[in-house]
Amino acid sequence: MTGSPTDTPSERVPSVLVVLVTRDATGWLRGCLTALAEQRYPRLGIVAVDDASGDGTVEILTQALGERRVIALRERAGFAGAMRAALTIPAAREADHLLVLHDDTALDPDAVARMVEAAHDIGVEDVGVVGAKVVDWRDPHLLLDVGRSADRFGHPYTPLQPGEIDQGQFDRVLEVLCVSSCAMLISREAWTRVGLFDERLDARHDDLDLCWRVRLAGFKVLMTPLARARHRRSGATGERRERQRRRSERYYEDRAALASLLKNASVISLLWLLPVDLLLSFVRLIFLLLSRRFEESFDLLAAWGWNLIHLPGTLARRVKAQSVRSVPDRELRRFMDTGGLRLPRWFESAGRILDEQREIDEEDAEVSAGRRLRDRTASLVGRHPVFVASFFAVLIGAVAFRQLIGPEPLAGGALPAFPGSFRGFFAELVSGFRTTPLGGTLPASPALGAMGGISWVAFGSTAIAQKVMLAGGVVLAGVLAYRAIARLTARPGAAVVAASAYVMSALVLWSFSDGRIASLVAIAVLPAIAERLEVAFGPDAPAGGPWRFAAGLGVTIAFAAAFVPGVVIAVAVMLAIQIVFGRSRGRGVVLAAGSVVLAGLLLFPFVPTILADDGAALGSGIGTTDLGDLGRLALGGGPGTWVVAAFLPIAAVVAFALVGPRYRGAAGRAILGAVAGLALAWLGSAGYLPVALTNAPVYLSLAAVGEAFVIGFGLASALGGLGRESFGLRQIATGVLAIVLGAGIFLQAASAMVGGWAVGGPAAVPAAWAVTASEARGDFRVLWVGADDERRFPAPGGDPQAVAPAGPATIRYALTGRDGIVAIDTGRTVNGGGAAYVQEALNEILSGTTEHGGALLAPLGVRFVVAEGGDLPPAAADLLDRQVDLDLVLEKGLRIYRNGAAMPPAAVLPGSDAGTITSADLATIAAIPPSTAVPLRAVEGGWQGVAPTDGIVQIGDAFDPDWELIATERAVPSRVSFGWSISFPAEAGALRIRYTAQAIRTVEIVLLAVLWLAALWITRKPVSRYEPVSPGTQP
Amino acid sequence: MRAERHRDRARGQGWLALLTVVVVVGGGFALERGLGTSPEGGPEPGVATSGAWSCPHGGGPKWQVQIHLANPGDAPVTARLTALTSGRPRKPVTVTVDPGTTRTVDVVAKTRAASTFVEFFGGWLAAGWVAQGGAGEIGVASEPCAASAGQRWYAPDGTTEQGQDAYLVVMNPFDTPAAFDVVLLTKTRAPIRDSAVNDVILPAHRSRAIRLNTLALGEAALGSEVDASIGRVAVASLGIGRDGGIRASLASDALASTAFLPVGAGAGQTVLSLMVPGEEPVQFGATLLSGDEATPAGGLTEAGQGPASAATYPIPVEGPGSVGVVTQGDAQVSAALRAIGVGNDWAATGGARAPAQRWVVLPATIGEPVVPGLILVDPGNDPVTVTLRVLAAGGPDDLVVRIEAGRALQVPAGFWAGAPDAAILVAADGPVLALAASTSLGNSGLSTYALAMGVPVPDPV
Repeated sequence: MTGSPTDTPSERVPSVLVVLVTRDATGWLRGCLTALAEQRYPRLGIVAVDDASGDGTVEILTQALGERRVIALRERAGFAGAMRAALTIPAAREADHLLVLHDDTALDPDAVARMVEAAHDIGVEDVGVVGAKVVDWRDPHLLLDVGRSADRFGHPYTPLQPGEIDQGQFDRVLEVLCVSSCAMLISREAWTRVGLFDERLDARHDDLDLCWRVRLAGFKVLMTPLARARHRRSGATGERRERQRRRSERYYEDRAALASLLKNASVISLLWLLPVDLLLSFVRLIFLLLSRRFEESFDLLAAWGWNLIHLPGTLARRVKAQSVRSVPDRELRRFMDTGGLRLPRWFESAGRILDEQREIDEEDAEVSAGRRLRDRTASLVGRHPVFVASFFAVLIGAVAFRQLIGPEPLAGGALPAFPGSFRGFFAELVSGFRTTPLGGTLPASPALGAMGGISWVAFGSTAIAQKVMLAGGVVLAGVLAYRAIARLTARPGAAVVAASAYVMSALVLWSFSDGRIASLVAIAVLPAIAERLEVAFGPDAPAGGPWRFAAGLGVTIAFAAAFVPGVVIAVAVMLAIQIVFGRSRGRGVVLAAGSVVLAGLLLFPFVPTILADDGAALGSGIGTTDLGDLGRLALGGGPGTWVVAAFLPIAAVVAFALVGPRYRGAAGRAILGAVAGLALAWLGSAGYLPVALTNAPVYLSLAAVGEAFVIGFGLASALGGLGRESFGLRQIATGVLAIVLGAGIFLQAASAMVGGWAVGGPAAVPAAWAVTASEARGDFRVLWVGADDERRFPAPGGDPQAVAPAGPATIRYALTGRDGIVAIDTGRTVNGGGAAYVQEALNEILSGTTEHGGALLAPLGVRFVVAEGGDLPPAAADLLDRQVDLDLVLEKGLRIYRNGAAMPPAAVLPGSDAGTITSADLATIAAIPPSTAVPLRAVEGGWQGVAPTDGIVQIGDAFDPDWELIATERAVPSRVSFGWSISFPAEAGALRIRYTAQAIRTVEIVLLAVLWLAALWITRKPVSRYEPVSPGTQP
Repeated sequence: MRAERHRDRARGQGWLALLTVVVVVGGGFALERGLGTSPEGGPEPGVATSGAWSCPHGGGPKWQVQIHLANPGDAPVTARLTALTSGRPRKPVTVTVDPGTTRTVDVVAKTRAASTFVEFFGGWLAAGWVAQGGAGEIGVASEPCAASAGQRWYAPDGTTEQGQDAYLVVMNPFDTPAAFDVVLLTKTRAPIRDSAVNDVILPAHRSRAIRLNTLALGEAALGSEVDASIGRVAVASLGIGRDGGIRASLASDALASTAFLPVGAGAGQTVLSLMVPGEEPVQFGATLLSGDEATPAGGLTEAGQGPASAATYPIPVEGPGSVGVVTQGDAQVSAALRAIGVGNDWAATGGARAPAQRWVVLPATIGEPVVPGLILVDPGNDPVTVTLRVLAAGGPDDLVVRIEAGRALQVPAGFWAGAPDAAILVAADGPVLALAASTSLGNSGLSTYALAMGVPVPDPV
């Protein structure tokens, strides 16, 4: 736009043609037309284009403007199409400016004049587009648009807060990237050079693209606050009959943003913007999937897909846009959002909070500094407890986790080794047979699907996934505990404190220290389960309907049980408490039963694994009978397991005394759960419960949840009315509670920040482990032994799997592969005939009957027997020392025996006697001479190798008739060896052993995946298809 | 009213909290005190009985070595014998020993390092060896095999005086290499730690003989301590006289404050070898039990021996007897007894640390003709009745003998003479000691002499 017509009256006043685009606008069109009629601008023409309205819009237009000024389209052409139709009349091509106007926009009487003035008379050259200050139609104090910028990826960004009131804060002419198309003045030079709107884009998102192109062509885009337009947002508010929008608002925004980016960014910019955009979209996709926002994730993919399909059209438009480019991208950068990336909401909140604090500071300028600080702190904590807690959580987490940052995989504690690739998880999940010690055909846990998925998301790196899961487990525990308590108390402050106490409990810190990812998942999920059960048995029917509720709870239980099957015991205890003490028992039982049934369905292939060997997988070998340890919820060493950890039960008791009538029932059930958890943990550890019901970590998790809930209820009661009561014992108790919680959480956090975790780098594994780790002779298994004290074994031995009773020589033990415990064994323990055989072999050794324990352990593939230095009972150590085929090779840090009679877990035993190998008689097995076994190589679906001579193929895995040996194109069925394992007669030559029933497992896993998808779909977070979004609202 | 009700409720909640604490804490202590931890059960009785014997017998050119395997149980027992040398082990030989019988297996022993590893399955076996010298070495030596291998061994019976060669036979029957040091103790010299016998690597399934004369020549008393820093070994001392006599004494895998050293009838000169590996001097006394009243042995009533030393003491013995060594203040020593037979062939025994009620006494004879002798000693204060059974198919009837308290007796020669290759099962109603003290006709027509301590029978065999 050149020239300044109003400065010199002798010059021609620029002509403006208003292009009013209407559609089904009878409700508000008259207001718009009246406002147009009141315009004081001298050279104003109007043409209305009706986009195939179905109501009386055309009639109104004709009545107001006359037929000549109305173009009535017979078919819907969209906003851009309507504009195109308008340009067919000569007046449009001759007008100096087009004023694009929506039918639900009413201009102030001098708006057009002010916009033209901004284009010509304020000294800014080359103005291509001028926008008005857009306010709400009904409430003109409400700002809707004052010009927008965008991030580097084309997503619009407004400086307005939702609901921001017009106080004159934007009352100056602003040079912006984009203005709203509801009232947009475009110069003829601008539109003839760059064209008008991209008809492919949604009407709510096409203005940014147009303004961007105008900018590229060297024109300026201004917003003048002197021109005011009231906008009704009839489409966004649902007043206008819209066509069914198939996707979310975000879809149309993402689609337009990417298309604009592809069209308007320079090639150099695209080289980095496009990959980064792709990466950010990927991260967002993962976040959406994890938070069960499936429709939104699909919309995100669809937006990319749309752009892919429309790439030719986009490129054609890009050629046109770039052909008129006269400014480089860097000149537009100042109109774009700082930093290029949209900041996470957290940072935005931080900015807002800082602004608030600054305001408080200004208000209290005369108050002393100390008091100001106090007031500020109180205000900050009181108004934004979650933000403050998040800040400290990030701080503490960053310091506490510092030792674990690095490229190498974590090791130590009870952390299971992750497979080298994420595929390892999926391979085990889908495998028809177990590839870890003692084999069998019982399926792997569905948890492997989640672990594999997270590993895949972590750029395929299981080392990163390991760290993400470990740290994420603690974060998840805090978040879910907060959500659960906040839902029950409606007091975010109380929930934040209670959740902090929960996260800083000895149990959580011990689990983190030991690298117990599965336990952390259970600890994280239990508060959610407890809260859901409280709701199910509560006075009001759960929101969302019974199906959705039951599905949600079922998914939660199944998820936790997939990692720690013993969680179902805790659920059973909570359920029992609710059935006895809950309110709506009938509804609660039905909902809970439905949830449990669904959880069973979601775990259906895994259920037999859980129930095998009388439910051995439900139990845990970890425990303690020390009352002090149990009271502190400390099952082992590590930061935060010291005496200070007693703050949680102490605070729970004090909080229980403070609980008001509103929460009394729920608090009673919570404290009952805590007491039951402690009692059951002791009874299990002391050996009074069956193996399936012995699971101290789960019971203590239950206790921790109960204690945290009681703290939440107590705090909520105290915060809810203490100030109105006269001073007394309750106030004193509240003070005590505050001190106990404050000191406890602070000291626990300090302990965590000092670190000293059991997990860490390679140094977290005893140096002596190198003796076994460096063993070059193929695959083997390790038997971990130690006194029956319910502690974990030194890394990488993991937790004890069973106890071999032998009086003073009683030991706990675990059988692992050569890498120790592995993540693909999550949720399952050794079971079946092989597990029974381990017990028998150990009984022989510990009874002192045999001195050929190595030969007895040989069929299991055990090459090393490992104990922590000083951990073995002397009687057991003597008995192991007596074994002629177990040689003590190291006694520094670890006591390691090498089995001289060991066989590889899968091998050809040349020349072996079939009668001997197939015997289940232990005396016969003990007498088997050490042979020169030829190991077989594990391959997908089995093993393969070459038999040097005729002999026996022995596989140290549980027998199943579906194994067969293929040699010289002949299939040989399997036989039972040693009473439990697999063997085949083998002839000299190449051979392969394969599992023939894989198809069944594949079908099971596909069905399982379908079930999970269905359950997650039922419980998804719904997305609004008619989200009311105004052009000025922040996306 | 409402405020009062609220206060009452609040107070009630406080009491409830207190009650919770009392229940939890009180209940916890009640559970801990009242119930305690569930007692651990014992192991189920085992079914895969097995064990092993290490027999570091040594050998030489044209030596004949026999391993005697005796099965006192009621089920057949399989034995796997593996001959070890300094080279690759030979292929194992498997034999079955029927219940109540003795089986003799000849093993190859052409070098000083020769030894045999005996594994048994399906029951319990006693095992011992008898070695007959060859190629000018005409004596006979016999000892029971070692029931277990260990990391530390004491061999007090060594001498490198003129005319005597002393060897240590060290065997490693296991699957991993062993590394050991040898420390030699003498009467007067400081402990000898020669680099030649420091960190000696003994590969898996190998055996080795160490000639002590090269390390400490001219010592009348030479005790050896073998300390395996890696792995486990079994050790015996082997003595060879220039005049042809040989003797073997199984080393002891532990020190003790008492030692029982029976000796046979008809022996001539008898020598007690005592080794004190510790850093403190030892006061000890020795008592000789014989057919008569107990007497101080060799006048050793309050004798003393310096720390880290080995010494020998002549003990006059006539007829069957037993030398009991007791130290003061539970000082730890290792002892052996060597005796010379009528044919100028020395014999030795490491004795026993404690008496037992059941023994298997393995043959200590080889060749023909032989005179097997069995010495029984009752070191207690009450007389005992002993039942003797020859472990041979069709052997003589059981013999019952009575031993007076604190006396020793020799079983009538005729009882064992009918089956000299069979072992004797000794079952007493009180603790006794049992020793084979036999003579065999040597290669050169001279009578040879061997002592072999019996093997205590473990329960429940």
